[in-house]
Amino acid sequence: MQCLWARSSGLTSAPVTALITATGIGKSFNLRPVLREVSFSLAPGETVLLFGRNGCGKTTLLKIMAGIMRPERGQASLDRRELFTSDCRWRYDMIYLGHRPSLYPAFSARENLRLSLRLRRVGWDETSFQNLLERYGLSDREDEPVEVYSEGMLQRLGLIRLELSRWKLALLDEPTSALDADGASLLGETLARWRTAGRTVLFTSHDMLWGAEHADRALHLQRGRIASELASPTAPELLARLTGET
Amino acid sequence: MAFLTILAKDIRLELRTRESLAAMVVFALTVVLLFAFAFDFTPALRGTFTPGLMWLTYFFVAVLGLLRVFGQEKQLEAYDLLLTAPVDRSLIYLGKSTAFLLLLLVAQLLSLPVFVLFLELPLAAAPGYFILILLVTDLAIAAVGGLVAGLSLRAPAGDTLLPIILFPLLTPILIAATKATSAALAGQPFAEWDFWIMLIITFFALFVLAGIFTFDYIAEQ
Repeated sequence: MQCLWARSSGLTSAPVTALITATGIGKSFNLRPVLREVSFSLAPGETVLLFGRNGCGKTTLLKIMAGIMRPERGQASLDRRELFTSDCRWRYDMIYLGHRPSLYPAFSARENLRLSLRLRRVGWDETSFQNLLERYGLSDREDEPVEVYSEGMLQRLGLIRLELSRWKLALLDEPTSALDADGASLLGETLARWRTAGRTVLFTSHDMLWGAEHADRALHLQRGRIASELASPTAPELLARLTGET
Repeated sequence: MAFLTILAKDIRLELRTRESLAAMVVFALTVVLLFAFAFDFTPALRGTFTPGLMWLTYFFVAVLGLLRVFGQEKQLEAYDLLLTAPVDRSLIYLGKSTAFLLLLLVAQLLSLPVFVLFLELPLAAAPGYFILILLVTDLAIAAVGGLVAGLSLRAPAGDTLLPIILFPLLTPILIAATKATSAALAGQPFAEWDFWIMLIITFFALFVLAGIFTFDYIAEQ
């Protein structure tokens, strides 16, 4: 298994064994560094909140880890497989849900999900699909083009995609941003199930209350680095870190 | 498998919306009718002029098609679905370029009769050679277009960037296609104009290889 969280970082509460390890990730836009040297690791079954102010690079970091963006420097490995290479096999173990849910507007929910599963070489299970539609409140809407869906419905559909797929690590970028209270609560239950199943989740959120409630650990991204981390964070602690930023 | 999935996805999207094909065919018809009625060409002038007009029209038709086939990936960040899938990215390039190629061929099939009818394109003079030129040129346009569209998809002003980058790259192909079409329809033997076909095939081979080997880098931001 991968080594422990790098000792040189000086951070505590590191995962004992790591599913994913990132070291020295850096990325700039228009010569302005957004990520300077981001290093972290996540253990199997961990649910980790990545938090920080707007523009601190949370989405950029998730996109880099998902293979959508290429870092200028740094290395990462997932389950001992090197990331950022042309070998695409590591993407079987990782799934990404962004601000927008990566769907084709003209396709129905069913068509979008079938496409996603086919690309990931996962078979279609109609019973699971129907059960998930019921659970996420999208029953009877599965054959409508998703262009008529609200943002919240699109986000729910994105979560169904995650439920139907096979993966070890999920990267969720503000997964509750368009969800109502019921949807956010449903996602909380889902995160708990994934944790029990040994699946790892790294998510961002500006809802510190919700984030603290569901995260085992929180990583504070500041000035392009993981400035600190909190084990079993509470909302006041998270807010204190945010307001303490200079 | 992934290649076919991506190709089938693009074909199904087009069949669902028919937006690209409609725009491409209507544009081609408009240009042909405008030139047919606005200018009074002599038959001799028409013979040299029509192939050039045809390929220029198909260049813009191709840009319209590329903007649509690749642009649909921007809505709801659908492209991220392809990029985060465990799929070799060269297959994304090949799948989308093939979908575009089919779209271009259908648009040409629907608009060519109008070229024959209104601009008297003498297709009957060398139908076999014409089909060869059309297929080879379309393959080259798709190879170049797929690569440039993949690049512009990640740029902030990609829609503006696409024709700007594409035109200089496609100009040699369009010149070669025009020369070959003029010669073939004028009844010249193949040996006299095969150079142009070789040139187009060379472009096709170069850009397909470039697409296969670089799309992994091009696709990422």
